[in-house]
Amino acid sequence: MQSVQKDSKVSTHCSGKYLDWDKYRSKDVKLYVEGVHCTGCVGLLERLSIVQPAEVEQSTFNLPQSTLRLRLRPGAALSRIAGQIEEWGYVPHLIEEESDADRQAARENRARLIDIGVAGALAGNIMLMSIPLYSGVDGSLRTFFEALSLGLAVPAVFYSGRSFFKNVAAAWVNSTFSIDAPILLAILVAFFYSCVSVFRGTHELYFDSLSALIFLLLSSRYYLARLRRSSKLSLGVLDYFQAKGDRVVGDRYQPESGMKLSSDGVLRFGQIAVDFSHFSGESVPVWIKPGGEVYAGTQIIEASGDAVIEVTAVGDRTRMAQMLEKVREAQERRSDTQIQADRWAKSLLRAVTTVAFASLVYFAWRGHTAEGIRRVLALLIVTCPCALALATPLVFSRALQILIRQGLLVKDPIALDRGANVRKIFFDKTGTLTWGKLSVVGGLESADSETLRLLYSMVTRSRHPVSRAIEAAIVRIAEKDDRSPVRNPESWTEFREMPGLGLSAFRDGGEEFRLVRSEDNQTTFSEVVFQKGAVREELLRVRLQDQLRPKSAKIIRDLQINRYGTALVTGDHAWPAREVANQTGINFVYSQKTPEEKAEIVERGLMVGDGLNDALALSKARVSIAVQGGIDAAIQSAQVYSLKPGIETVPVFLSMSKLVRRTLKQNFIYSTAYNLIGATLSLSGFMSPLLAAVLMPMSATTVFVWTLARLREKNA
Amino acid sequence: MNFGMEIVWWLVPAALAMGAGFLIAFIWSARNGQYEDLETPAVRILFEEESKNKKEQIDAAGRTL
Amino acid sequence: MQQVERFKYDDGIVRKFTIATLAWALVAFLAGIYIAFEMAYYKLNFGVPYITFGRLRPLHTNAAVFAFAGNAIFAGIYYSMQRVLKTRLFSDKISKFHFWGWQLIIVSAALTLPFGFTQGKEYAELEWPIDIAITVVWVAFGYNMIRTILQRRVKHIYVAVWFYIATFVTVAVLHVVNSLSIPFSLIKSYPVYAGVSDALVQWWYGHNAVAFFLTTPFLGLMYYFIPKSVNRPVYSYRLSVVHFWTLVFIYIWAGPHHLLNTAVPDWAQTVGMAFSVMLWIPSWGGMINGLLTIRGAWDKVRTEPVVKFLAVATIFYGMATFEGPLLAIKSVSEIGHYTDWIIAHVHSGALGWNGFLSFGMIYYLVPKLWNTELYSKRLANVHFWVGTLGILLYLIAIYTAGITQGLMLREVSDAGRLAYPDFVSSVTRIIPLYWIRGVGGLCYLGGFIVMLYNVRMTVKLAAKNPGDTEDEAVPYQAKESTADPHGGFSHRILEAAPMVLTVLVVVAIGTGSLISLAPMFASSSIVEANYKAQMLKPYTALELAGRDIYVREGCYTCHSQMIRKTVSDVLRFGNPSTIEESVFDRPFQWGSRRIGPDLARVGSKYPDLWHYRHMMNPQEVVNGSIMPSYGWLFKDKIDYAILNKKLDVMKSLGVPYSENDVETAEDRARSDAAKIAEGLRADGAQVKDDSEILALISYLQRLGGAK
Repeated sequence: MQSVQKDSKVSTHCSGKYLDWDKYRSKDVKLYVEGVHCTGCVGLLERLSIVQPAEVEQSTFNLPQSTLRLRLRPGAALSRIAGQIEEWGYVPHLIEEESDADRQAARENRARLIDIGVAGALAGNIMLMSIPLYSGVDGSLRTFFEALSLGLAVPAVFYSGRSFFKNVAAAWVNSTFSIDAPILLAILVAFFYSCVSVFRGTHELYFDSLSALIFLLLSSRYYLARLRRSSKLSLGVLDYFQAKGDRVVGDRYQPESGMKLSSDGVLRFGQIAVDFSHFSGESVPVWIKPGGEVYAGTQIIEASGDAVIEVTAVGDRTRMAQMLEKVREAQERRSDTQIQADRWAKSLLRAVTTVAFASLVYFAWRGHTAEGIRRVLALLIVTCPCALALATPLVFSRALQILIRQGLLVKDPIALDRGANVRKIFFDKTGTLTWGKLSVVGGLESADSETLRLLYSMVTRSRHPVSRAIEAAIVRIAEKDDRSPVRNPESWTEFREMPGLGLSAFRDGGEEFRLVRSEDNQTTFSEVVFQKGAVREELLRVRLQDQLRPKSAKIIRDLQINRYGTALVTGDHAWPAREVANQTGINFVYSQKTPEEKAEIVERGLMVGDGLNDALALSKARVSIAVQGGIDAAIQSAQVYSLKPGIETVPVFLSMSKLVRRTLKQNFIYSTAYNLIGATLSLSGFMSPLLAAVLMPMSATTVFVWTLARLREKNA
Repeated sequence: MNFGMEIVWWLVPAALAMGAGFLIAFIWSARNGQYEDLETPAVRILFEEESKNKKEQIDAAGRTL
Repeated sequence: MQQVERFKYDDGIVRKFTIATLAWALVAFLAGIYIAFEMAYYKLNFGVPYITFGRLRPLHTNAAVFAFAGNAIFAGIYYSMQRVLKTRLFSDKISKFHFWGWQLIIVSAALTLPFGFTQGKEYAELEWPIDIAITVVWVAFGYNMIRTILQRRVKHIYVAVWFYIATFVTVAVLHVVNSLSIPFSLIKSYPVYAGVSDALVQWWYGHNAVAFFLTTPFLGLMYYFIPKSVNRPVYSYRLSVVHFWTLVFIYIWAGPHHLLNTAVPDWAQTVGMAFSVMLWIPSWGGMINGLLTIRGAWDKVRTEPVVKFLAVATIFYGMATFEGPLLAIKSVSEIGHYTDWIIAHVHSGALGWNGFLSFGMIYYLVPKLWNTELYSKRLANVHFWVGTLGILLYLIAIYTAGITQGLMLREVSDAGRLAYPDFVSSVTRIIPLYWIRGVGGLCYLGGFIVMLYNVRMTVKLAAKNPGDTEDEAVPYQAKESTADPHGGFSHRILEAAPMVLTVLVVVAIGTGSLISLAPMFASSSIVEANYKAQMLKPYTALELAGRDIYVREGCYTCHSQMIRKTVSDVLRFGNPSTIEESVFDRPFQWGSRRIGPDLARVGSKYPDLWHYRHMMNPQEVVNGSIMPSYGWLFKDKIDYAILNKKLDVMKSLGVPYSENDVETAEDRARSDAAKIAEGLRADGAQVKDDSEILALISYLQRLGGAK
């Protein structure tokens, strides 16, 4: 790595795209800088204060985060600074001001670190004081060391250990039992007993145990909190949906084809075609006119040259972010397993406390109070429901994080619980196993313009795959033949979608036109009939076909090898259903089912379907994965939303559920065994409080690290 | 002033006082944000932006560069 | 409003310290080689008082630690600190004062130690005026350093600087505490502590001053010079920060590991043991961090002499900090204590870690300081290989010597008798190894001379006035500067831990001292009770005079006065020493080496005539002895006049002399001496009434017997 020999002249070039940044008011600016690969770059960026002294007072780069912190002089133009950075070959992005939450988190982090430092210093020195005591010092020197360890233990308990007091008090106020209760009990008993012992001269001191316990617990909790923070569902998801944002409300910009939006906005001029699929499930672009809204997470497909969008919401306030916030909240809900784990933990603690008191009484009665205290202290310290009470949430949040990376957004952790028990999987046909893109294979050729016009007027009002396919076919015909069925659409007086059946529309004069599934379909295609009037006169019979997604068959086969029962559930006719079943190898077929019937069938199994159209069935199934239909609707009805089309995420979900269950079981076994052995050793006197103080945090940390190691993507 | 092991009465508090002093220094440095970024400082010391106040630069053989 | 500031680093002071380092290194190495050969061939003592082993050894240790390592530390600290903090040193004047003051101290050491002006405590031999000078100069150094930190232009204080701060604070406290003494003449004094308390304070100082003088500053230098020389950041900066704070948090006392198996109570020994073993972890953390920094640039170890030296130095650091905890285990110490094994341990650290790191640093610095290239990389490589060879020869020879001697001396036959009842047999056995060690030292010196030549040629060919390095930076401001009339400085004062730390430490120590010095002026009742019970008498005036001669001649460098509780010690020397037996000893002379036998119970073992002949010509009395002859003791006169003063000072320190004792000190001494002289003459020896040998004999005969 050589010194970067970049020319550090002041830039006169000022990129227009940063002009907006000059609106930024604050004196302290944080930029995310792309392209910092080498350490020489760091030096260069930190020289901004020397290269542009009139504008930059201070420039500090943070290598791990790749962020540049600037303190600006009054009158500084951020755009010029950005221009200079760009000239050097990096790409700056303006990061929104640190939220209060971030600053608070940083402050808390620092405070925790200090607490650990103090606790460690105290524990270390108390332990050193204890060595002479263990090694047989006597006389006034003994008292001296005992007094010193007492003196050091006071701040250890009442300053470093204050979080334990807080937690127990808070739980008490809420009439619950905090897992810190036995620990606090142990610390207080140890402390006061040792104090008494110093004054009575009986030399039974536990200051080293309790200070070591406090230090080790604080450290392990800090470490675990850090692990958990990095596990949380965070920017990862937003990244998936949107590009990194650098706009502020009120900005105006020109959208370009292919641009992924990072903020909500309203179109001021021109026209744009937008892909709203994450919201509506509709992958067909929608044309927006001035006044129309766009959202973060949508993508510009086409834009007219004069199009201008004005930003209306950024960051946390976008619709996407708010939706995800709801998901996050749902995820915080505890699953059944977690509730069970909590209950188990609490009963363990109650049991331990009871045993502790009983043992103490027993020992006192037998005349061995001192030994009793020693053993009970060890018991209180060593037992810990950590593997369950603390590791379980970690298991879930980690699983959720991994799943997101695989394209599965789990709204409700309960899905993971239930997923492990699933035996039968029900698949919707259209859009799930198949592309959902029906295409017309026949039946329109003979139609006249008028019929086509009427048919077209109906299908444009429906989003159903059948409707869309027919619409596309008619458009194609219109282009070829210059018949104009696409102009002058009929305006219906009444229009209805009949779920599972078809469309119905009434026109002026009361005539009803229907487009429905054919009841006497003898073919393997999907067939719909265009009917007129109350007599249901058949005007057209259109045949459509839906292609199977390429991986569907293989995935079904794999699932069957893993002993899952597979079934197809569809509102479609038996023949096309059976056709798809044959192609995929599915054994059971339920065709022509109404949504209510579908819901009934899938009740006990895993349902995989279209978020919009299978909403009822998805909400009733034991576990449900929505494969399409827009996140908004899907999240309402299903527990899991697949960000990838098709069923390829289904095996991923299932194996993760199993992994979660396995890990939880392992943790449970470990926790039980550990506590039993620990309790036995303590009560029989083989475990000293000091040893317990070291073992317990070590065991907790081991469980966490082990859990995280188990829950990796490759293990799933 | 003929101490035996009683010198320890003095030595230990003195050492503890020093330990306390260092602890205070630690608290200050944590509060001051010295530990916010523990990667970039290691890299910063590597920059050699200094220029020398040289009249002449000489190479190993004594020749002027 | 801060603007970009252009400033210059003070390179001149670094050049000064670098040259001083090299100059004193030569002195230290030469002294070391000379005393090494004196051990191999005792005749090199030549019967000249100023160059006997006993007087030269402290010169060697002080030169190596304070002159060589000291100047190297200052050079490195001043160079690196300015650059990582982006500021010139606070005061050029103080820097210069620091430099010249330090050199003056070294010169005074050279002028006093060979003349026997020593306090008799290892690495703290320098007498009280020099101690005061050290304090003054050290405080100046610290003040300069702290003010420099306060005026830094970067917010983050690089980890190396924390090591420097810790060095300053700790050494200051240790030095002041351990050097407390009451003068009885312009150049001589008695330590405030006695016996076991002196032993504990001495080794509280001895280990930690050496550790905080020879380790922490060098670790700081390592954290700067290794990354700079391989152009890579420290492997784990986070680890270095953790490593630093754990070290200073639990700093308390590891001193007792120098006192294992002695009269010090078991619990104190256990503390020393436990702490020393614990210290292994942060030490190796540092070593691994330093070595792994070179990761990805290992080829530089092959091509750059600087990196060779630095990497190997770090490896020696690892070796020494593994061996140390090992030696701190009681059972290992039983073999190694008092033998050359300890010397080997010291020199693997001194030659390998301190020496090589200093060399690597200097090879890095010289071209930069003189604005040129190193004259010859090839010669630097030669230095490296020859130096390494020297270290290896040294270590192999001395490890062997130490373990041999240790095993020989503790070997007890099945019948319960010493396998080697004559101490001298263990010495004779290892003489050949001393020769090899001497050769090793010569190699090390040889390599160093190559370095001298290389540096000389580099400097010679460089420009005459290299000047100072320029740099520019924007000052760092802690907070937003509001319209603060006092400007940014008061902000920094308030939020500057270095200042706070120093003030707090001074306050703490000061308060602690004031509070605890009070009881110190009262005599310890426990000791009094013991002394009364055992009826220990303080030294008579003549015995005291003899003791001071013992200290002056540096007898403790070869002889211990502490019989351990081990089987072989008891068989060889008598009952184990107790704390009470040295309760009035100022300074304590328990010793840390047995090149000759332990003397704790030598009293009444041999008649006066034996001692007379032995001091005159050791080889005549003990065949194979390598002890130098002390002929001048027979010519020089006892200083009777000062005896009253001496006893008075002792009395003020709590030794139970009566007023009468003090007044009649001189007279009593004279009469005691006359008695001994008479006895000697009766046995046929020629002796003057007031020659020093009488005092010495009186002292020796008192050891361990008189009740």
